[in-house]
Amino acid sequence: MNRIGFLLEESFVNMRRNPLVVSGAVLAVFVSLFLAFGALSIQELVRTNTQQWQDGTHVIVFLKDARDGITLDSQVALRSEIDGWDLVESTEYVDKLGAFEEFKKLFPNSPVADNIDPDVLPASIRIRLTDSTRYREVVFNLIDQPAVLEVVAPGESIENVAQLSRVLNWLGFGLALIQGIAAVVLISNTIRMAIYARREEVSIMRLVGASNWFIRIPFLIEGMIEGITGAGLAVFGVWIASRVVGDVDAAISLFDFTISSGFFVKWSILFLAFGAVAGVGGSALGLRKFLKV
Amino acid sequence: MIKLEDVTKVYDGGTVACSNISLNVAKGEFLFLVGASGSGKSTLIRMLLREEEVTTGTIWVAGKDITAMPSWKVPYLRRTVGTVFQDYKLLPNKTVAQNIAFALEVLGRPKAVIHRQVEQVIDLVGLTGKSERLPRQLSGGEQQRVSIARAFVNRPPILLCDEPTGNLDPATSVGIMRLLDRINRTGTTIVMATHDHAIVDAMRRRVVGLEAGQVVRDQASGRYEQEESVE
Ligand SMILES: Nc1ncnc2c1ncn2[C@@H]1O[C@H](COP(=O)(O)OP(=O)(O)OP(=O)(O)O)[C@@H](O)[C@H]1O
Ligand SMILES: [Mg+2]
Repeated sequence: MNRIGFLLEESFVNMRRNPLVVSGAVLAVFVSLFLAFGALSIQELVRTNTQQWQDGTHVIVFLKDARDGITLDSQVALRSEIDGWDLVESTEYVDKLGAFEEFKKLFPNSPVADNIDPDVLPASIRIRLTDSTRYREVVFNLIDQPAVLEVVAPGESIENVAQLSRVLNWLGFGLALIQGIAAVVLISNTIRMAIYARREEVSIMRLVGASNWFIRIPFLIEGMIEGITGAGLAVFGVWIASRVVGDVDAAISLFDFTISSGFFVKWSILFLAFGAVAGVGGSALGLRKFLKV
Repeated sequence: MIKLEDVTKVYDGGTVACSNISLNVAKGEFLFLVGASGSGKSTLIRMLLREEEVTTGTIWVAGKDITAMPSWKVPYLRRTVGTVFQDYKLLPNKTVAQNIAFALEVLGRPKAVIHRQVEQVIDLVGLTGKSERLPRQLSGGEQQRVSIARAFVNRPPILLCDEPTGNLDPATSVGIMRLLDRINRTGTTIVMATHDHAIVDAMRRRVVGLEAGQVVRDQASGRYEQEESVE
């Protein structure tokens, strides 16, 4: 029992002796795990958001109105035609007033909403498809219709976002991997320098009968503390970032930026554990040369 | 307590530091190792600690064959053998009390026991009131006392000293020798390598002379120089 306390104390005393090197190792772990956790969170956000969209509207058809000689009747006729198509699961008609309400909801505090005339916003038909990946066929059929003002397929932007996020993810994970290796190397280097600086002391300790493990453990603890501290900072950083982005979410509300706490807690624990393992592994690597088993 | 049988040590470069040394040291004995520089005294002491391995031959320490001992057991050997060196070998960033306590921390003793034993041994070596000093705040003689305290704090059966007075003036050396003599009287076997004529001549203990790695003399209550007369 006392031995554990003594070894813990030893590692703290050692770390206090070269704070600069220790901070370097902590920083490297922080950067690598922050990048990895960040990339993971962005992926999760994209996943949950695209899921929301995919459950909802796939194609929006904005309609011309009386000013273009299109009557309500022809709008209704178009809707029933669309309803008849094979690919279409259901449709929903949103009139000018409905569009205005939606606009106000999207930009609650915008002065634009107060000055806008509900009449300028087009009515629209929201279409849900049985197979969202085939939205192109529907869009193709719609663009030639006389009542159609414009066709928008969120499916397209979903695909773009998904693709972008895939690229970003690979980039993020690549960077995180390189940083992770750098962190382990840096920790092992920190420990090696610490051992080298203390080689006289280490030889004295051995002379007094300290076993290899007795000498090693403070260094392993040091590596572990550095790893966990770096990982803790990374988790904290992601939490701060998610809070900042979450505030933006309240203002725009197009994209849901909140990460579920289940996801955050699960990965926080995993990242902390990974930090600890990387720290111990790095310091074991550093010890290998100087203290052969 | 210590037994060497036909021990030879050849260093990597080909230097023969010890050749065919056989020696028996009984429990409670006080033995001086003397001989010119390079005659192999330090090598012999390092082999007793398994800091160096023998090339051929066998060494027993406290009943154990240390030449056949697996390396993971070496720390246990060193806990039964206290060591004192010319350069004190204190941990520079630890206080007097912490340096002495280290030998007990290694054994995993409870804090209260460590505290009590450290205080006792600090009084024994005459450093009362200096337990919170760092080694650099002590004189050479005081540092050597700390080193002796650390070697003795867990009451090892054997104490090995390599020129413990090598860096000290004669008066301070006498103080250190009084201390070692007291420790010897508690039943601790002491082997001490030295160049100090005055000390060897004053103590009149067993003297083993080395020359070019060989035992050339073994006298019961000898002097530093070989006496021409026959007993
Ligand atoms: N690590 C080593 N590698 C190679 N040769 C060594 C090593 N240590 C000592 N020697 C050689 O072994 C011989 C004996 O050295 P040792 O240190 O045992 O002598 P010593 O009797 O202690 O001398 P001194 O009185 O000067 O301390 C010397 O020739 C020395 O050069
Ligand atoms: Mg020597």
